Amino acid sequence: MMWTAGIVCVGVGSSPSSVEAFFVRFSGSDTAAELAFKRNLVTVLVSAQIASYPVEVVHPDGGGEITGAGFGRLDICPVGPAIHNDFYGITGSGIPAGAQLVFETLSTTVTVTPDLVRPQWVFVAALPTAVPIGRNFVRLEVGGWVSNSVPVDVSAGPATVIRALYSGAPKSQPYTIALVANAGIETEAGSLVGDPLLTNRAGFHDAVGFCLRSLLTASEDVVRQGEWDREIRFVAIFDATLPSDDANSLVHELTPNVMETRRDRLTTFLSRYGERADIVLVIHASTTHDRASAWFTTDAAQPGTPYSYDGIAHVHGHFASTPGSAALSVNMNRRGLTPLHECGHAISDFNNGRIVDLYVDGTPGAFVVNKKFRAQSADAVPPLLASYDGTNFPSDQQRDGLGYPAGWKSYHPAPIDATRPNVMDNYWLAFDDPQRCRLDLLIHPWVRDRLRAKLMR
Amino acid sequence: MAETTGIVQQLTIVPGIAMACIWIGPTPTNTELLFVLREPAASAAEGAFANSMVDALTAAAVARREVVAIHGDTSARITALRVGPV
Repeated sequence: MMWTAGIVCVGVGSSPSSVEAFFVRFSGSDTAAELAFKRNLVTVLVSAQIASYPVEVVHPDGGGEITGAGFGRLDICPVGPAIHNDFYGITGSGIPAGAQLVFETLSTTVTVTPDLVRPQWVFVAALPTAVPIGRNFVRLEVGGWVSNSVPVDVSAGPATVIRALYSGAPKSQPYTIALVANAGIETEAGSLVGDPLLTNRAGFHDAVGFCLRSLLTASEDVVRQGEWDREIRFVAIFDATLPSDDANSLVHELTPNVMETRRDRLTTFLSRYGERADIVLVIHASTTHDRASAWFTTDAAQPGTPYSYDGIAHVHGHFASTPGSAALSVNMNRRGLTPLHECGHAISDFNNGRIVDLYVDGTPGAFVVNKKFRAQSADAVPPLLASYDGTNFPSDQQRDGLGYPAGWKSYHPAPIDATRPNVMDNYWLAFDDPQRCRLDLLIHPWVRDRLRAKLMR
Repeated sequence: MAETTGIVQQLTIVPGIAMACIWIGPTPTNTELLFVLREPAASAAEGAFANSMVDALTAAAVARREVVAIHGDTSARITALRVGPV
């Protein structure tokens, strides 16, 4: 590019030795608006040159004066800055399973295997330090499939405090799942102590990667079916500067070893970072209270999508007044389905349908979608569990192969996979791999309908 | 007012009509088309404000930073903009 006598000359081409000359003319007859947008246009061209981005320029046939310009189109999009040991992601469409990130400089090529691959998103929990600092070109590739190469500037740090891992549907208030590093713990005695997680950023990143894999790659496809996850916003917050005060202590201990979210603190906490979530997964590092738990969502009263359960009218609320939430140990067993299981609770609603654990008998009371009770434990399990939106759903006669204990009165919906425990049951008893467990025939469409209502809001 | 959040996937400037078109979304193919327009009758201050938003969107596009574009509920014209820390 060159500036001379009211004209900016631009060479556009695939290499310095193969360019075509164009120009932007700042004319005395231009309006103030035209001059200002020509200045914007030149800024685009300068930015593209400095960042090694392709550009597209518009000009008359046979003429060299640029009348419009923009960045060239690429088939992938890096998300946010590339920082060693920070989250990193690349979005696109039709990304094949097994895709890897390839970072290239003039002298080095580094291949990074992502923690998650979805058709629209490749996610790395911690960008390896092997990727050279400075200008790289990154692409995705697997087999014969290769994306465009995109320039990125890699830095050593510092890692970000809040990061949009995937920005979700381009609209107001997309359905959002936030993954938060907890700063303080309310003990059983009622005091507030610091959460050691804030000194274990690497552990937080690994846990976030596990949560995303659990939600989006396990055999249970309730979230990802139809690629609905391309409309969901995922955000991570790790703020090592937070004191363990009342506002930042997002979990509390329950005897003997359960950690539970302080659900009424979550919305205010997130708003300080400009976020609003439907589900909040709070990661903590307690070594004494490492058993996970979840709270149901409390939907806002309006608007909502109506549905019927056993002929009674209910509503899937479109927004949460209090998000669903789960407290998850940073050291949770990676063989299990803890994030998916707890999200099963969290996505359901206090007043319009709870999804509860199936590995305990429980007692009748609040409106529960996935459990009913016989009058006596000796009574036969009824053939039908419930009618949902006019369709009858059978009950599980065998309790997904585990068998109902003799004293239990509760019974459940029939499973999708009768050979393995329900995701909401004791999936650790799966004969092969808990990751292969599914939900049941009722909860799957119920959650899908509820998710659809919220995604389409 | 509505807010559209995402990465600036594409940005095109057309000085002849004093407009910038901006595609915002999570992926290159999942975007919302919005625009910044400088009205002929706009004051110098209003015009400079619009053009400064275009500069911010340009910088965000290159850095792959997420932006929040604010526009009317039934309008694609960006009237305000937020660029967060990341």
